Parts: sequence; structure tokens; C-alpha cells
Amino acid sequence: MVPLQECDNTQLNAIPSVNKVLLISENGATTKSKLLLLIGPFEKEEAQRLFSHGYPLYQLPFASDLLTIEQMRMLPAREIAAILIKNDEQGLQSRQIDAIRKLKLHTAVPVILYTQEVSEAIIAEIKKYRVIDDAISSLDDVDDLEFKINFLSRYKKLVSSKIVIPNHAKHLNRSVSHFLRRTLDILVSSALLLMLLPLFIVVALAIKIESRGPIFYISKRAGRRYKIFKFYKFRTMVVNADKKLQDLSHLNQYNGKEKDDKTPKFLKIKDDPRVTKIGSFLRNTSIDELPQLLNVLLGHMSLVGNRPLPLYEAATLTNDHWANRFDAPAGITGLWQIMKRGEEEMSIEERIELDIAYAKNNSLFVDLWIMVKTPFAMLQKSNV
Amino acid sequence: MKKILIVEDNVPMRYLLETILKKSYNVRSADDGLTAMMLLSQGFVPDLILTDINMPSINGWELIVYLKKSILYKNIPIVVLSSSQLEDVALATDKDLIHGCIKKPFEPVNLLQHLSGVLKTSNYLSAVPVKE
Repeated sequence: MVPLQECDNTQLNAIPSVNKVLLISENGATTKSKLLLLIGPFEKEEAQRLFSHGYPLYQLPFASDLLTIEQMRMLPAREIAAILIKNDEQGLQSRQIDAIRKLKLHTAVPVILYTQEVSEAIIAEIKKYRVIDDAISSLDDVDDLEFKINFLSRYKKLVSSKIVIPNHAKHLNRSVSHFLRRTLDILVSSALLLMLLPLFIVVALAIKIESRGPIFYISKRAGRRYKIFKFYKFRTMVVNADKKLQDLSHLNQYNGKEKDDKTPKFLKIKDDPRVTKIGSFLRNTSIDELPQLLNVLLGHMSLVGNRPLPLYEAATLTNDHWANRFDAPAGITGLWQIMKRGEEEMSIEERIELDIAYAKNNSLFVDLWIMVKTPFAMLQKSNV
Repeated sequence: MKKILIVEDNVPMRYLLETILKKSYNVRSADDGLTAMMLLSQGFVPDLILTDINMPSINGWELIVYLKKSILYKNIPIVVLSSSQLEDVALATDKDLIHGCIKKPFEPVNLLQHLSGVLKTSNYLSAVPVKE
């Protein structure tokens, strides 16, 4: 170990003299330009150990009456790599910590407590002051200090360069369009529900007459931001259709493509044998989808948006790219429905890309355009 | 309710995670390692950190390695959420730096199960921050 000595290093002339400052440095052999500022009763051996990192050390007397804020103000924060504070038997001396806080030194410089042993009491004290970033003990690996200084310096630099731009205009824009969307949803869905009430009654009776079971098919779906809600449809299949699905998976139109876990699992079966007669009619006319107007009125969904997905489908889309499709509200109709509805060639990936495109570009105008085009798509005859 | 800090730079993914975890946990989110550090230093001490790896400014590994060395945060269990199963993950698990890795895409049920398992087995308790 290199012997340390008190010296008047000309290299560090930039630092203004502070009363009773002890400058410890090897003559000209420091490897780092920034210095470690020591505050507290550091033993010579401890200083020696710290010096082995190559930092010039600059020590301030711990309980000195002469150390005032004015004097600390003279310290150039830019020249300091880190401040090391050592506690004595009574714990931390709050005066120096207050000085650091008042001078805001801790916003630019890592403040690290040097302690014999890290105890719960010490941790509680660190938390109390909120000035000290971390602690090292004499037992710790010497390299840890350097690692912590480097990380914390970088962190503080990033914090000071992080400019938060309050984007009020964008925020206002977004809440206005949200308000418009919700208003339109409520007006249109409640009007349609009233108008369609007679049809709903007829359909309900027909469903009840053909097969035993409930009028509505209620399933859990994931909508905007993966919000899970109860999704209403008229029942078009026999009861327990979901359980029979396992036996039918070989009929899946999307089969053969899912070789691994990375492929989204979607299910669509042509001429599904579980569909009832009235169910088939309801599906061809898309009347089975109309109870979703209730979901719209309740705020689970919007008139236009991305399809709310069954949970097993949604779970396959939880990666960084596909998650974008959940950024749009769930909707009764959407881009996918008006673009290529029913074509078997449409791949799952294409569907998701359409969803993502909608999520990124939706506006009132796009929604109105989709709403106008939807009735034509609804009246198509293919068995989707 | 236990507190979870989500560190994820992808906005839709972050919203998705918030929705999934919000029902069972008190959730705060950070959009990168830097924001996570800022939240921690402001006194938000979570019972668990769920972090992505590839992020701007301070990335997942940098955050994990620092937190595990830091005096204040070293006991907070960390779960990694990543799109690729990296060799680093196995190494980090071996070194007890992290409590497992969830691979994207993930089944929300599995994520919840994993997190509640970690919270049960780790005996770490977030101390109430001392008021000034």
C-alpha cells in the first residue's frame, strides 16, 4: 500500500481552501480526476483503503464548528465523484447532512454512508434523511464502492437531464376525443337498444323454443388494456358448447399454423355442428352480436374498436408488439370486420396487424367511416 | 395489499400489466430503470419489482445489479419479464439476483401465480418509510 501523506497538491489547486481541510493524496499519482469528499472521523487506514481506488481524497473535519454552509458552498460539485459520510457512535451528524441538502449537493453527487456495520438502525436513519443514496461497510468488497459511485453518478446525471414535458395539449385532445366517443356510444347504443327491443323479444323466444338453455351466451373477454368483462351474445349453440370444443379442434381453420407457443391461438370452425338452426340464422345476419350494445352502454366496449378476445386468445398476444392491439377500445365492429370479413386466407397475424393499425390511427372520422361500412359487411351471407 | 413496481418501457404492455395486477396488488409503474430508481428514492418501497430487460436509459440488468448491491433495496424480490429467454436469466437466478423470469407472451394466470408464489416465499417485508 502506498503511504499517504498530508500534502498541498498543486494538481488540486482548483479547490478553494476550506479551514481545517485535510487533503490526503499520493504525490501526483492519483488515477482519477474527481475526488472523494470524506466527512466524518475516518481513520487513516480507512482513508488508505479508499485511496486504493485512485480517487484523490478530500476530508472535511466531522464535528468542526468551522464548517459552515458557506464553506461547503465553496466545494465544487463538479469536481466531486462522491461524498462519503462516516457516522460516529452517536449516529449520523445531521448538520452536515442538512448542509448537503441545502446546497443540493446530493442532486448531483452520490452520497454514501461509510459505516462499520450496516444495521437496521442505520438503514432507518438513511431513509429518514433522504439525502444518502447508499451505504458501504468496511467489510464490503472494495470494488463495490466504485460500482456504486459509477452507477449513482450516472443515475443522477440522467435525472438532471430528464426533462418532463407536460403535454397538456395532447392530454386535452385525448380527453376530448374520449368524451366524444363515449357520448356517441351512449346515444347510439341506447337508441338502438330501444329500437331493437321488439326484435330482441322475438329472438329470445325463438332461442328458448328451439333448445333448452339461457337466451344469452355470456363469456369473459379481454378488452382495452386487457380489462376483462362479461361479453353478451345471443346463444347460437347448444348448451355446453365450450366443453365440446376439444373434440372439434381438428376442424379449426387456423390449424396447422400453431407449431409453437409463439403463434397466437385462434379458433374458427366452418359449419360448426354445435350451432342451432336459429343460431345459424342469427350468425348469418350478425343479429347474435347485437346484445353487445348492452356492453357498449355499460362502458365495457365501444361501437367501433378491436374485437374483445376470449381469454385463451388474448393470452397469446401478451408480447411487446401485439400488446399494441389492446391500446384501442374493444368494439362491436372494427377494421377487421369491414376489410376482409370471412375470407379464409386472412391470417391471424394480418388480423392483429389490422387491430394494431386501428389502435394507432383511430379517430372519430375513422370510426364514422367504419360504422357506415359495417351494415354492408353485416349482411354478407358466408358462415363466419 | 402488497405493493408491486412494474418497470416496462412499452406503453401498451405497461397498461396491460397494470390492469392484470391492479386487482390483487397496489401497483405503481415506471417506464424505465431511471424512473424506477426515482420512485424508489422518493420512498416508494415495493414488496416486489417486475421488470423488463431492454429499456432505454437504465436497462433491466443495470437496475437489478445495482438494487441487489444497494443497502436499501437489496432484499426486494425481482421478477424479470422478457421476450427472450436469455442465458443471463439462468445466471442471475443462480446468483439469487432474481426470483424467476416470465417469458412474453405470458398467460396472465401464470404471471399472477408466479408473483404470489414469490411474495409468499420471500420473507421480505417492505418497511414503512420513515417520515421526515
